[in-house]
Amino acid sequence: MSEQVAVLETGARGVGAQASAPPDTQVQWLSLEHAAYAAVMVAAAIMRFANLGWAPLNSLEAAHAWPAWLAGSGQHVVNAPSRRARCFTECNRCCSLSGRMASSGHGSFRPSWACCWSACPGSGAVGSGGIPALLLAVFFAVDPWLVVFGRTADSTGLTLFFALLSLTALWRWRTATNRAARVGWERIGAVSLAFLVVSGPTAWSFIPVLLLMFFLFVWPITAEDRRTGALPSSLLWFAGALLLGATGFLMRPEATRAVAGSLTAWLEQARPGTGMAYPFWWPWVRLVADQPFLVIFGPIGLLVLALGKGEPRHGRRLALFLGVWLLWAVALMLLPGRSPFVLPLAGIPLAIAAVSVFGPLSKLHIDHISGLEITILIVVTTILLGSSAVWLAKLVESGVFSSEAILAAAILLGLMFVVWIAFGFWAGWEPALKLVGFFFLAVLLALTIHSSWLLNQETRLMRPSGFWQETTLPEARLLAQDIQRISSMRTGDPTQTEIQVITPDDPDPVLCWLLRDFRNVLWLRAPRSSTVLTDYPNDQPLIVTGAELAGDPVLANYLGSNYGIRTAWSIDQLPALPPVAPDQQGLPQEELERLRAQQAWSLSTQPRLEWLLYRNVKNSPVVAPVTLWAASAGN
Amino acid sequence: MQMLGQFLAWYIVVMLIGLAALPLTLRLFENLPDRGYAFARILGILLTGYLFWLAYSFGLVRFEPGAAWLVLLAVLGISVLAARKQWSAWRTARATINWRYVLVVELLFLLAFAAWATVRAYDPAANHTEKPMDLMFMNSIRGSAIYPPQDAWLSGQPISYYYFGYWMLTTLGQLSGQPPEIAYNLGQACWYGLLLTGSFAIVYNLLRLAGRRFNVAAAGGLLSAVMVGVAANVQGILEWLYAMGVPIGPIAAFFQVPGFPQEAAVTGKWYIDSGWWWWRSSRVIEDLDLMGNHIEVIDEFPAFSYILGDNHPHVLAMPFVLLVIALALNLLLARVSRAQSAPASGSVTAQRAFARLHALMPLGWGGWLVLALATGALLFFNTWDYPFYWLLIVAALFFALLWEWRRSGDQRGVAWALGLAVAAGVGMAVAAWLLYLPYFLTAQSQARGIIPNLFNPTKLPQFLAMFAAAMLLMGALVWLAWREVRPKLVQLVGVGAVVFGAPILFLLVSGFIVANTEAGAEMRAGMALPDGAQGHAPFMLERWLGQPFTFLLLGVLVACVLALIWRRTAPDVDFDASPAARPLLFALLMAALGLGLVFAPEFVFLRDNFGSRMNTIFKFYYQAWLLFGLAGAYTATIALGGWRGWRIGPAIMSTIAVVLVLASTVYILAGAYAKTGGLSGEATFDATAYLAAASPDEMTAIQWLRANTRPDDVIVEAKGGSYRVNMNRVSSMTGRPTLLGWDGHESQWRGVAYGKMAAGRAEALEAIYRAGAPEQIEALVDQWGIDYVFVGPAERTAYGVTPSSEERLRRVMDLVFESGAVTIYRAR
Repeated sequence: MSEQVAVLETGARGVGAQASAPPDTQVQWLSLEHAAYAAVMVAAAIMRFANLGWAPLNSLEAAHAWPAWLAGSGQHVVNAPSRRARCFTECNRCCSLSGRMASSGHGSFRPSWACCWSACPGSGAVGSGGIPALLLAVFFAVDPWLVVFGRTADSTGLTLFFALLSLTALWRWRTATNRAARVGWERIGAVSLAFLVVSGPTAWSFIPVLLLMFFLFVWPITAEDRRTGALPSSLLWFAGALLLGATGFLMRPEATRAVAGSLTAWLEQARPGTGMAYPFWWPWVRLVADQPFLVIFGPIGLLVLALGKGEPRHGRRLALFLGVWLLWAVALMLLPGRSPFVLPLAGIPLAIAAVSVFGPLSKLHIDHISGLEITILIVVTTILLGSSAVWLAKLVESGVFSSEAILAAAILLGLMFVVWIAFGFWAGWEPALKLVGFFFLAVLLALTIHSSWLLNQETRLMRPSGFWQETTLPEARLLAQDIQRISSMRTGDPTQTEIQVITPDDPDPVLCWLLRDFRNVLWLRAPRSSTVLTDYPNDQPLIVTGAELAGDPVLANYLGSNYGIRTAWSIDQLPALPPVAPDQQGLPQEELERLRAQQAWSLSTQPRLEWLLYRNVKNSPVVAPVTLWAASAGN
Repeated sequence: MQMLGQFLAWYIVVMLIGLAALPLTLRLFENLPDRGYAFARILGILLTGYLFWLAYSFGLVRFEPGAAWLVLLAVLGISVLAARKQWSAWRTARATINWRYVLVVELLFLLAFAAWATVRAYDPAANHTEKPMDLMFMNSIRGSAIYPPQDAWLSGQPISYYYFGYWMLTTLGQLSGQPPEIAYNLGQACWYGLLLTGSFAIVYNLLRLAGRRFNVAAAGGLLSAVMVGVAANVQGILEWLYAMGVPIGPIAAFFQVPGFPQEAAVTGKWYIDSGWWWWRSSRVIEDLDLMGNHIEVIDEFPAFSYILGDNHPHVLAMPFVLLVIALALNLLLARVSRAQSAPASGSVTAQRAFARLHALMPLGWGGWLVLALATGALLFFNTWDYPFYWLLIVAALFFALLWEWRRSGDQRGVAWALGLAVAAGVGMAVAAWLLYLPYFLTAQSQARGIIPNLFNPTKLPQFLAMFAAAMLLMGALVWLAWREVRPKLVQLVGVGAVVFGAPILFLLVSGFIVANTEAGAEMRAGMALPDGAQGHAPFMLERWLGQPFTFLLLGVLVACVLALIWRRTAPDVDFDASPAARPLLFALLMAALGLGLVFAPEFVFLRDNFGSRMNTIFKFYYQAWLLFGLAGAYTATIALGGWRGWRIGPAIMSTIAVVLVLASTVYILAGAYAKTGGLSGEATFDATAYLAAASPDEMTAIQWLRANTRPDDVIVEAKGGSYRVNMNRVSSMTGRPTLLGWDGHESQWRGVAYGKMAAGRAEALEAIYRAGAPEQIEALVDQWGIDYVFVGPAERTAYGVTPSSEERLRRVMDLVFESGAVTIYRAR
C-alpha cells in the first residue's frame, strides 16, 4: 500500500513512502523534495511581499487598521468607525504591533498577514502526497486569490491559514499510526480550530467544511480508533486557545463579543443590501479571469476522483467531500451578499481536485519515449500554441474584428490537437496523456501566475482588477503630505494644526488612516451650520470634505484643492453595446446588422477581452476625490 | 410571497430550536407518556433565550443575530450531551415516541400558528391600547447592543419591567431575520400555537397515565386546548345570542354584566359588528366604590388577549407556565429505582436528603437546574405567576417524596416529606434568584403590600359569567375524587374551618383597624363616604351580607379539594394500585391552585398604583383560567367516559360545561373577524405599516432615523401619556431613547423610584419645544445628552410649535431632516 507523503511531515514519512527505493535515490529524493518546498516558500514570499506597500490601505483594510492603531497607541476617537471592525482581537493586536514597528508605512499592517500566509503552502496539502502535494503547494504559493488575501490587512488570510491547518490536522489525526501522533495532531487541530473561530467572519464558511470532513473521514473509523485520542485535554486546549484568541491574550476581555459579531457579519451575506454588492455573475467571471488552471483541471480532477481513478485509498469519498464543499461554495456565491471572501472557498477544493489528476498521471509510463521525441513534441506544440496566442492577441488589440485572425488561430490550435493525436497513435496514449497533462499544467500555471501578477502587482487606474469594489490611489498620500507642509508653516510642527473632516456619514476609514498622525483632527457630520471653533482664534482650521460639499455655504471663505483618494470600478462598468442611433435606423437591414456586429465587437466584446487578458480599460474609472480647504488670505 | 417567506422563516427557526432541545427534553421528561415531545419547542426557546440573555448580561455577546445562533448551537451541544447516555437505548426502543402523537402535535401547532398569523396579518397595527409599549420594549431590546437594555421612554435608564417575554420575541426575530415590527405579530401567532400544544400535551399525558387510549387522550387534549385558548366565558355566548335577536333578557339580568345588554345591539350578523363588542367579556366583574361608582376590574382570558393582540407579559408567559406545570407533573411521577433509594431505616441526614432529591429528577442536579431555570423564568416573564407555580412544584415534590419513602418501606410520614419539599422549594427559589440576578439588579417594583378587600365581594352571577363552566367541572372533579378516596370528616371540618375562618377573621380584624384606628386612617381617606353615612363598618357589613355567595361557593370548593388532597397523604392510600390515582391527584392540585387564585381576591388584593382589585383579579383569574382549563378538560374526559350509577352526576355536569365551552368558541371566531374588519385590507405582518398611510411624513422620518442614527442616540419627542398612541412613535418604532415617554406607565413600573428618575424631564421638554431660549436649549442638550430633537405633528400640537418658534432650535442645532410637517434637528 502506498503511503501518502504529507507536506509537513519530513524524514520518517518520506522514508516510509519510498521504502522500496535504493538508499542513494531515497536520500536524493528527500533533498530534492525539501529543496522544492523551500523554493515554493520563497516564491510564495516573493508573491506576497513584492511591492507590498505600494498602494495605501483600502477601505476594508483601513477599517481594521485604524481602530487597531488607536487601540495600540492608547487613543480614543469619539466617532471612530470601530464598530465596523469585524476582526477578532488577535488580528487587531497584530495590526497594532506591526503598526508601532512601522507606523509611517502605509503597507505597515500587511506584512503580518503576508508572513502568515507564506507558511501556508506547506500546510496546504491535505493528504494528496507526492507530486500532487507539491503541485498543490506550488499552486497555493501563486494562486491569485490566496495571494490577494495574503497581501491584504484583513483577517481572511489568517482564516484561510487556520482553515487549512485544521483540515490538515483532521487528516493527520485520521491517518496517524500511533497514539502520540494522534494526540499531537488532535491538539494542533484544537488550537487551530479555536483560532479559526476567532479569526473573522470568513471562518464560518469553513466550519461546515470541517464538519463535513469530520463526518466523512473521521467519524466512520471504529470507536476503538477514536478512543486513542485525548479528547478531554484537547477540549481544554481548544477552550484555552479560544479564550486567548478572543480576548487578545486576555488583554481585552470585552472582545469576546467579536466572535458572535463575526458570525453576524457572515450571516449578513444572506441578506440583500448589506455590505458589499457584487452581481450574480461576478464570481464566475473571476473564476475565468483569474483561475485558468482551476477552470480546466478542477472539473477533470473531480471526474477522475468520482470515477475512482484517483488514489485508491480514498476511494470516492474524497470526490464526495470536494463535491459537497464546492456545492456549499456555490450556495454562498448565490447569496445576495456575495463578496470576494467566498472565492477561496471555491478555489481550494478545485485546486485539490485539480492536482489529484497528476497523481495517476505521474504514474503513467513514458520510458519507451526518447527525450528527442518529447522535446520535438513540446517545441512544436509551443510554437503552434504561441502562434495561435499571437493571432488572438492581435485580434484583441485591434479595434476591428478580423475573421482571418480567428481562422488562423483556430487552424493553429487545430493543428496542435492533430499533432497530439498523431503522437498518441505513434507513441501510445499513456505517454501522450501524461505529456499533454503536464504540458498544459505548465501553460495554465504560467497563465495563473500571470493572472496573479495582474491582480496583485499591476492594478493601476487604467488597469483595474475589479476584485475589490474600491481601490485607494497612491496619490492619496499627497493629502497628508500637504497638510504636514501647511502645519509646519503655521505651527512649526507638521502634525499640530487643527483639521476638521466633514462627512455626511461616519468617518471614512481611509481618511482616518491617512490622517492618523495628526493630533488635532475633529470628525464632524454634515450638514453643518458652522465649522469655526472659537478655541482656535488665530488660524482657521483646515477642512477636508468630500466633493458633495463643495458648494456648502460654510466654505464660502475657503480655497480648495482636490486629491484623488479612491477609485471605484467594477466589471459591469465595461461598456455595453449602445442602442441603435437615430441616424442608423434608416439603413438597410443587412447593412445595419453588419454595422451592429462591428459595433458589438469594438464597443462591447473587444473591451471585455482586453480586460480579461490584460486588465486594460479605455475609460478611466471614476475617482472619488476629497477637497482640502484652507482659509483664503483675507480671512 | 414576502409574508409567506417571513412565516416560513419563523416556523423553521422554531422547529430548529425544538429539534435542538429535543434530546434534552426526551431525557428530562422521561416520566411522561409523551416524554415531553410537545414541550421541546418551549424548552428550547427558554434555554436559547436564557443563555443568550445571560451571555448578554455578562458582556460576552451583543444583541445580534450571530450571538443568537451561537447560543442555539450551544443549546444543541448541551442537549446532545445531556442525552448522550440514552442514544443507544433510544436506537433500540422502537416506541420511544408515538408518531401519531407527533403528527397531532405538529399539525395542531402549525394550524394554530398559521390561523393566528392570518388574523394578525389583517390586524397588524400597533396603534392602539398598549401595543406601542410592547413594540417599544422590543425595539429597545434590539437597539441595546450591550447590557442592560435601555428604556426608550426614559433615556439613560434601563428597562424596569419583566421583559423576558419581549426578549424571547426579539431573539426569535433575530434568528429568523425579522425586525421587531414583524416579530411582534409573528411571535404572537407562534405563542398561540405553543399555548394550544402545551395545553393539549398536559391533559393528553394525564389521560394516558390514567389508562385511556390514544384517541380518548387526544380528544381530551384537544378539549383542553379549546378550553384554555379558544373558549370564552359565558358573556361571550350571551353577546352572540343577543346580537342574533335571541330573547335573553332575564339571563342577562341575572348575570348583571355592566353595560349589557344596554350597550349591545341586535345586528343579526354572525360576527355581531365591527366594534369592540368583545371587550365586554373581559369586564364582567364590577366593583363599586362607597359612592356606588364603577371601579373597573379586568377579567381577561386568553381568547380575549389574542383578539386584542397586545403582547403583554401575562400572555407571553403562558407557554412557559405550561412548561412548569409539565415539569411538576413529571416530578410527581418520579420513581426512584430500588438501587437509588435511601435505606428505609436511619436518620434523614442532609446527605440522604440530597441523594433522594438527586435520584428523583431525571438528569439529577442538571434536571433541578432546569426546573429552577424554568420556574425562575416566571419571575422574569410575569412575576405574579411565580408564587403559584412554585407552590405547585413544592406540592408535587412533596407527594413524590412521600410516596417514594413509602415505597421503600419508610413510614416517616408527612412532616419529613413536607419539610424536605419546602426546603427544596426554598433552594429552588434561591437558585432562581441567582440565575436571574442581573434582572433583579435593574428592576424596580410597584407592589407595596396587601390590602384587605372590605367592600367588594364578587357578585356570584358575575363570577359565574366568568367561570360557570369551570365551576361545573370543578364540582365534577370533587365528586369523582370523593368517590375514589373520601376525606375523613375531621379533615373536612378542619380544612373548612381554616378556609372560612382565616379570611373572615382577617377581614374582621382589618375592618376594625380600618374603621376605628389611626393606622387605618390612610385607607379610610381613600374611601369617601356618601353624605349622611355613619362610618365604614356598616358598608362593609352591608356589602358582605348582601353578596356572600361567591365566597361561600369558593370556600366550599376549596375546602373540599384541600381535604381530598390531605386525605391522599394517608399511608393507606396506595398510588400504585390505580393508574388514575396520580393524574387525579395532579388534577386536584391544579384545581386547588386555581380555586385558591379566585378565592383569594375575595378577601385580599395587592397594593399598587391602581388602588383596587383590578390588577389582582386580572392576574389571578388569568392563571385560574389556565388551571381550570387543564383540570376541567381532564375531568370532563374522565367523567364523560362513564354514565352509570353515581357517575351520571359528574357526567351531566361535565356535559353542560363542555356544551358551554364549545358554544363559547363563537366568541373567538366572531371577535377575530370583527377585529380584522372581516379579514379585509392589505395583509402584512408589519406592525408599523399603518403609519405610511396615517402620517407619511412621520414614517419617512422614522425610516431616516433608523438609517442615519445610532441605536443609543437620544431623540427627544414630546412627553407622552399612557395610551396616547399618536405620541412617542419614534421611540416606540425605533427603540431610540427619548427623554420621557408614557409617564403613567413609567410610574407604574418604577414605583417610588420614578419621581427621582423623571425629575426635570417634563420641564426640559417644555423649554425645548415651547419657550426656552437658545442658550437654555443648548444647556439642556448637553445636560441630558440629547442627540436629536424630533418635531412632528404631536409636538406641534402638544407644545404649540410654529416655524417661528422653531428658529430657536435652528440657532443651536443643525437641521438634518425635513419632510412636510416633520423636522429633525441634530446637536452640534
